[in-house]
Amino acid sequence: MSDLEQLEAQGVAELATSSDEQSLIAWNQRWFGKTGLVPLALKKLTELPGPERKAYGQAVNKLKEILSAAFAKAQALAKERALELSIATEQLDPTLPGKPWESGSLHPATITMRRILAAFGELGYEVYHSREVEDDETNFGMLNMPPHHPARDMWDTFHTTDPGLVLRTHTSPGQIHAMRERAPNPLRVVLPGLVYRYEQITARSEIMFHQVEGLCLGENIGLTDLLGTLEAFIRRLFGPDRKVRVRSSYFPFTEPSIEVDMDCILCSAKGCPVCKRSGWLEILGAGMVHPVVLRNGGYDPDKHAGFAFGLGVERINMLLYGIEDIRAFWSGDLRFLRSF
Amino acid sequence: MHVSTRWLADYVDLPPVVELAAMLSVAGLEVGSARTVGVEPFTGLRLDDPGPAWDRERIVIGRIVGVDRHPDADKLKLPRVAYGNGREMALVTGAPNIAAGDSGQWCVLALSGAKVIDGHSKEKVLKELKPTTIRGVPSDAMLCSAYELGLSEDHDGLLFLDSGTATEGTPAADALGDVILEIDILPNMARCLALTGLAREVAALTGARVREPDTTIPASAATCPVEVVIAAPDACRRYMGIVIEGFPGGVSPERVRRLLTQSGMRPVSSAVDITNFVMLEQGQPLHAFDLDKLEARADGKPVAIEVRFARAEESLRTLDGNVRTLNSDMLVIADAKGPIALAGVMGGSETEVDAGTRRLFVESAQFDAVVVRKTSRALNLFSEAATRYTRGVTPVLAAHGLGRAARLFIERGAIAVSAPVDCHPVPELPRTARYDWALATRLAGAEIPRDRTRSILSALEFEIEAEDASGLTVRIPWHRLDVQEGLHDIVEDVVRLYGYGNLQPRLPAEAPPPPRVNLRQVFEDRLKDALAGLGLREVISYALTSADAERVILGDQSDGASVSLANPISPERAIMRRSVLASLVAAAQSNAARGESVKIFELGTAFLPVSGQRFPREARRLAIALSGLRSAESAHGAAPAVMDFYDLKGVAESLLAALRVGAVQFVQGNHEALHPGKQALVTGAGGVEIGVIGELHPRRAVALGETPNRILVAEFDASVLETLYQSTFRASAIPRFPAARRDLAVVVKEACAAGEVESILRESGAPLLAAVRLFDLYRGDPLGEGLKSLAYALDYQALDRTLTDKEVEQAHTRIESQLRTRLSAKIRGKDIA
Repeated sequence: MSDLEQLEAQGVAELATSSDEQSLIAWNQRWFGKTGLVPLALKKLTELPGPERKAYGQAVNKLKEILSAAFAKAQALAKERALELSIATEQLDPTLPGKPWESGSLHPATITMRRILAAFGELGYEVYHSREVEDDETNFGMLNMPPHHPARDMWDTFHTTDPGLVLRTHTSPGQIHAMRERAPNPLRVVLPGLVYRYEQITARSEIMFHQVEGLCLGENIGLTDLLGTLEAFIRRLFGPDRKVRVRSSYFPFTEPSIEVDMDCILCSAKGCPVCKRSGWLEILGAGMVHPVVLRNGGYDPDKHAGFAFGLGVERINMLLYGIEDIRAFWSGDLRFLRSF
Repeated sequence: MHVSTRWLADYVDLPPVVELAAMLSVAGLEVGSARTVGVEPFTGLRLDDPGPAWDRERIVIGRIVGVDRHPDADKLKLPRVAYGNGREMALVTGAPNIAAGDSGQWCVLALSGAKVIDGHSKEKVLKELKPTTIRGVPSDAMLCSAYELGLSEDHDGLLFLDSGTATEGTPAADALGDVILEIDILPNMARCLALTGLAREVAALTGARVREPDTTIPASAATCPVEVVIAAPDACRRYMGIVIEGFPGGVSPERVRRLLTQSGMRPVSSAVDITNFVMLEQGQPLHAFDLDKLEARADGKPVAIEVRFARAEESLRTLDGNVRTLNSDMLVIADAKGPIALAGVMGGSETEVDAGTRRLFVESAQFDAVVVRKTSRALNLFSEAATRYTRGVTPVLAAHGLGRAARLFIERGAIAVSAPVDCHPVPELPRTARYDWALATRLAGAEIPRDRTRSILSALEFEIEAEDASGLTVRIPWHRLDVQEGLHDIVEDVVRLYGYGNLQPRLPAEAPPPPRVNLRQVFEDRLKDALAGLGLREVISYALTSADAERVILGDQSDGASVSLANPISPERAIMRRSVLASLVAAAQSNAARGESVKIFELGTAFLPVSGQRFPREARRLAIALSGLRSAESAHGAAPAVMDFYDLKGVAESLLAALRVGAVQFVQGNHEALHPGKQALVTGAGGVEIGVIGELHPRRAVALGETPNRILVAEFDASVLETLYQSTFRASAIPRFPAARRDLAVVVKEACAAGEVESILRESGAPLLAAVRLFDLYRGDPLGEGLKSLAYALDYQALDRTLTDKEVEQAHTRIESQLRTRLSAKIRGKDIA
């Protein structure tokens, strides 16, 4: 066995006993470091006579290759062993709570309002905003409720100290603003916003809530168009299988006036306290725009016709989310808001 | 309106009650709930406060065949009661309205095992009757009071029925049981504030016939001795009256009292009950005056009354005992001495009918809806009569009401009635309307078969006067005051009876107008999404607040002009807010006080009065509030930090970046609601003010209420943000060449603002300096007093090539020398250690 062969055997043997990373580094240093055994062996080359040098050089290179390969293999093996060990020993408690990572949220009124506006947006309706402090004339008079009209009793009104100025009781005055801006063009608008009613604040009644009003005017718009539009909307919002019932009703600004019910989503129309045991939930008020209102908006009732509808967002949210106390909405209480 | 179905059935045959309720609800007469009286509860309707259901076997109609004295007790009596098939029951009673020797009274007999309301308990509880012995006499049954049956609150004695109510042994549920419907009468259905009006609706819906009572005025040779003048013909279009002589008075028959009670009215006396009964039946309010009292006021002259507006200084004591001061908007009935009744609202107490009244003057009139409404509101005095007048009563009805009343007075024992006095300056003309087939089809959006239309119209008593190719001319029924806008009203009726369910829904065939996008909505959606994405929760607060509640933000300005309510529900909700932040801060405080970590925002309206303008400016404002821990405490790692000014600034920066608002600067602010040393004014391009951020001033916070940590707040003008918002933009490309990072630690004086250092970095590093990030701020050894070290990571990058070390080194050196010259800064590792 030549010196080099012996050296090779020694290197491989030492490597075999170096199983962890630390001893492998030491081995590498001992064999391949600046003064390591392999460089040392290479240095001997200069001491040899010329003719022997080539063969020796080749032999040293071979030694170097063999030991390097063996080292790489041993290193991979050591890594694999370390990984195996860590996998085998790393065990955490998956039932510990995660680190807090709280998300933000939108108010339920925003969430539902967006869904409503999106549903009507697909049907070609544009969002139109109008003021909340309104004059009596636009809130009532132009909507076919002259002063002392008995229908005014249907809306309990907040009056301001400025005579004739009220907090709008519904989004309907927006109809007048939109019509006057666009007459005599066809019109499809949805009017979202806050409205105010003079009420006692209880679990079921609030002084402030969101309404969405819709208005569609054209030359050939009839009651069946209203029914189709509202049916499409209800099914879009509450599911394709919803049944719709239409009841005759009264609003001064529409004629005919209707209320639209859907089968109760809470009791599957079997009758529960929310639907007053009737199996039906009141969702929308609607009707064909009254000729007086059309005229006040700048449209000619002989040429134009159209429908309007309105709904309360908080009422829908109470149904959708099973909210029993309407006061939660404006409480600003995070214990409620975190639900959304 | 409370409607007794037992009473309603007098005028029209009814379908089963649940069916009736559904039918009425769909037709525009919404039945909200029902109340059972004596009958078994049922499903399909909300039942309110149901009374006891009367056992059909054990609660029956009986007739007293004799009453014996109790051997041992003077107050106790021993009636014997026949209850059918020859059965008789003896029992003991202490009722005061029965005496030994009585017989023939009809009553309600409850046998043992029956359940009735316990008359001896304070609460309304049911008790089961058990055989008992009272003072040695066995008693296996009882005779009931109205209270015990749940019929009324009357507990003064036994309930005696009118003879002919039912035969002996009839279950009481059949004889007296009832279902009371609570019907919401909308303004266009005012005609249904009367049972006959409601009966007409039912008849039109079911095809049944209406049984109208006789409402003709009985013939009389005696002229009415009361003279009537209408001095305000616009406010009173008809005034009729009749004199009743020799009325015996007393109480009404049991059935009348029961039906009035079920309808929500209190039985008073036979005469007053007749006027109320007629009002509920016909819809015509009546008022009865005591004629003797009127004559006494006339001092021997003929009684002359006038319908006129009240004069200044006049007053009237109304039936409820209150003295009312009148004004010239109020219509009165007056005699020579002054007002005797408030027209259409309430009578006066001086001429009131009482137990001794034998001669009456009964008024049946039309008064103007607006006049009655104003009077009623001004005096805060609401009555059943006023309710009907304010919804509209046709002058035609006055005659029907008076005729019906006169006949009832005779039925109840009046000896004579006079001929009526009838002031009716302008009689009503028959009204007609045109029903155009094509217009009706356009409005309905579908063609309703013409035969069906004709039959519906006739069911509703619209008489077809003429017909041609284009449509019908119909006479409007006299009782349909609501039919005004011709076609629309009538189409509504036709569709209502045809059934909305029979119309085929469709979507509009017309193309919608060209779509327009509401940019405010788009912007506000983006803004809210950005904030929710940053971990904030949206709050919506009342827009109604108080000057006190706004003081936390507005300070002394809180007492300035705001939109104030004339009729606030409470002092806390008396004005429209001028500060959205004030609302949000209150929400932050109450959450924080509970120990919550608060990260909330509100996008809402502030109402800002503008002098010289009618409407306030409705300004959109964004408010943000943070307080408490950055995240919830947990078992993992170190405790989370308490949020401070820089958390808020981070939120603001991220928001503004999301909205792509350019040239944003945060400079020292001077908002008085914020901590003077911890606030910034936020500006955009050209120095335009966008908002403020900072810590709520500790003094303001104290007034707000305790919180565990300070509250950080921001307020932005959302309309300014909207103008700065860039909805279109170019996305960043992924750089094709790597950036080279160099770190730079600069030592400057404490007073030197970080913003100044950064702007020099950016300016002198351009164009190769692509990003600047401050990663360390250090004070202390070995820097010495009054100095701080700012350590930045600087990224050098070019879009078109990989930078050479030399290029980077040049740029970096330029920055260093600029910092040295302009800020007298020292570079760590070079100028100092």
